[in-house]
Amino acid sequence: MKLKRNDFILIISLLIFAAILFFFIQSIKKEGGTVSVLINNQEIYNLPLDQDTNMVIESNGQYNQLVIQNNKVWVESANCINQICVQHPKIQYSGETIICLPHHLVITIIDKEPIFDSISY
Amino acid sequence: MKTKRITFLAMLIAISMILSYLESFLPQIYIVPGIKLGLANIPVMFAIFKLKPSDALIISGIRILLLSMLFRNFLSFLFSITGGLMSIGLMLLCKKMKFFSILGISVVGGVSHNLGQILIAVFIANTPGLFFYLPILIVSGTLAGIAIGLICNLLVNRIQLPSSD
Repeated sequence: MKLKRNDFILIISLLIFAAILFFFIQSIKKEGGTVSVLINNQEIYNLPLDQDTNMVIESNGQYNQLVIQNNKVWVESANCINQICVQHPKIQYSGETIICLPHHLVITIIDKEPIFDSISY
Repeated sequence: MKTKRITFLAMLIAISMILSYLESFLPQIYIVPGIKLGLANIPVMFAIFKLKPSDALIISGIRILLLSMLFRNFLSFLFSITGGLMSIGLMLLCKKMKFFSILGISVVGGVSHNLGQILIAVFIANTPGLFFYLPILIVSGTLAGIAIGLICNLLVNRIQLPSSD
């Protein structure tokens, strides 16, 4: 089967689209204010990003060690099966997230000003 | 189903399971979760081009089901099956439209697989922030699609099936 010109148009346009999306996301990135920790969609901690912390989040024998340092957040260690949360790069901007799906844990950075909506209140 | 078809599909499923296993030995890139080469899709692509559309679905579906039951959990089943169905669906559609060759179709498959996984992750984890991964996953899906597409191009050109049953 011969390759078609359309293939290359597709590849180039996908790469251009990804680049545009990348720069768009970079441009809307905002400095985060607080670190929100959720288990099963319930917020259990809300920590300031500018305060260094090293803590272990534990529930039902499942733990994730969360570190906040120099306005960056990462998971130092965990006993989950896939270790995706541990290998995840450090996060620092508003909206960035580390998820540990096996533990139903979501660590997400939110804006300095908390946004409340009609559902939360 | 004829015996011949059953055994042939079983062989392709076995090959794709082995390829999944082999791929776990490759060094992993952890810029964001979800970057994968997708060697297991080679038999699926082969089925799309050489067999019937339903065969591609059977190979992919049974592979994902078996691997999830053997080594993984329900969550990973959900992720794999969403990505798998989405990519096979779009690849079959693209093949029907005759707009792309095997390379373009493979790229469509790679990107749509990642897209499907992001969608299900956003849905399960309820975190729109995961869309930040999209640009990198589009690029990785494109590159993986190119690699798999070139391999499949060789296979489809060189392997002649004796007769269709």
